[in-house]
Amino acid sequence: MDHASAVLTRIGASPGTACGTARTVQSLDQFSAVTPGDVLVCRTTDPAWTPLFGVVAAVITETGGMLSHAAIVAREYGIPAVLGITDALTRITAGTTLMVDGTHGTVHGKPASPGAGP
Amino acid sequence: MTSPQQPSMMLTLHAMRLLGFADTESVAERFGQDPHHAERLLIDAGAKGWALRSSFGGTRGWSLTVAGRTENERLLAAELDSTGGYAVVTAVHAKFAPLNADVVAACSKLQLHWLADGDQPNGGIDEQTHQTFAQAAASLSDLEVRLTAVLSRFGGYAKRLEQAVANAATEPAWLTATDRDSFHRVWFELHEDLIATLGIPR
Repeated sequence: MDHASAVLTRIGASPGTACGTARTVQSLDQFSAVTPGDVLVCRTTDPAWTPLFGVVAAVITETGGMLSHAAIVAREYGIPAVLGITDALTRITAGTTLMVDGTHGTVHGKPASPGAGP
Repeated sequence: MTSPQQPSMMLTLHAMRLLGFADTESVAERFGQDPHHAERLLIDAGAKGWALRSSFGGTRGWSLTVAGRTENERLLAAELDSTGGYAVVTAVHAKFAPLNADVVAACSKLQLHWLADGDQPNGGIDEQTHQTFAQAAASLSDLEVRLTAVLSRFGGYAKRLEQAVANAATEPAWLTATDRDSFHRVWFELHEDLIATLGIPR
């Protein structure tokens, strides 16, 4: 997602909205790159990923849905989650500022300036 | 959490796999290993690049590296091969799948209900919810008997699930919370254990 106006839509699995820097994480060895307030972008999660949910502002995954473990954990932490975005790891550019709406299942780039939004 | 077992790198790596991020005591306790032995194994794992000790969220603990996960899977495959338990674990996993669908649906239904209400109920859970989780725990108990017949390290899940259901009678958070040994946390761990043992990717 290189353009601020681009919108990705999928499953809003945990409600709420949050804004943060996209942090694409492919594996365990990249956990240390995640900082508080980031938007975690990953393929899927397992128990090893649960601690990250306590640090990030929102979660985006390529797999899963309303009934996935990731959705349940995100709701527990009270953070928005949009799940099941195909190829999210390649469509979202690391470092992009994202607005994640877990209620409506949308992800879009934060407008560069007032009025420049989608 | 389970009966004491001989310290081993396999159990140490697998404890980290199941717990995600944990201190030395928790890694040792997961399979009833001696904490001193477990710490030596963790340090050895760290030296081999299989484990990483770091600070996270204000606590220090251990987690697997990608290389550690690969080694964990190699050791699990060797264990399964040596015990001849593949058919049993595969059959249990097939029975687990529909139960898992029921459990995650029940957890999600509860959470969404609580979100709509704005909070969790103070007075525990209703009978239908109790029955849903109690039945899942009972079904898992039967499966655990089959699992432990070939791999004793699978022991303990049913007891933990039953305890979570009992605690939820007065505190519903015991069904889905992440800050305790809740039903969903135990169930998620069991799911990971089954697919890790069988080498099934998520």
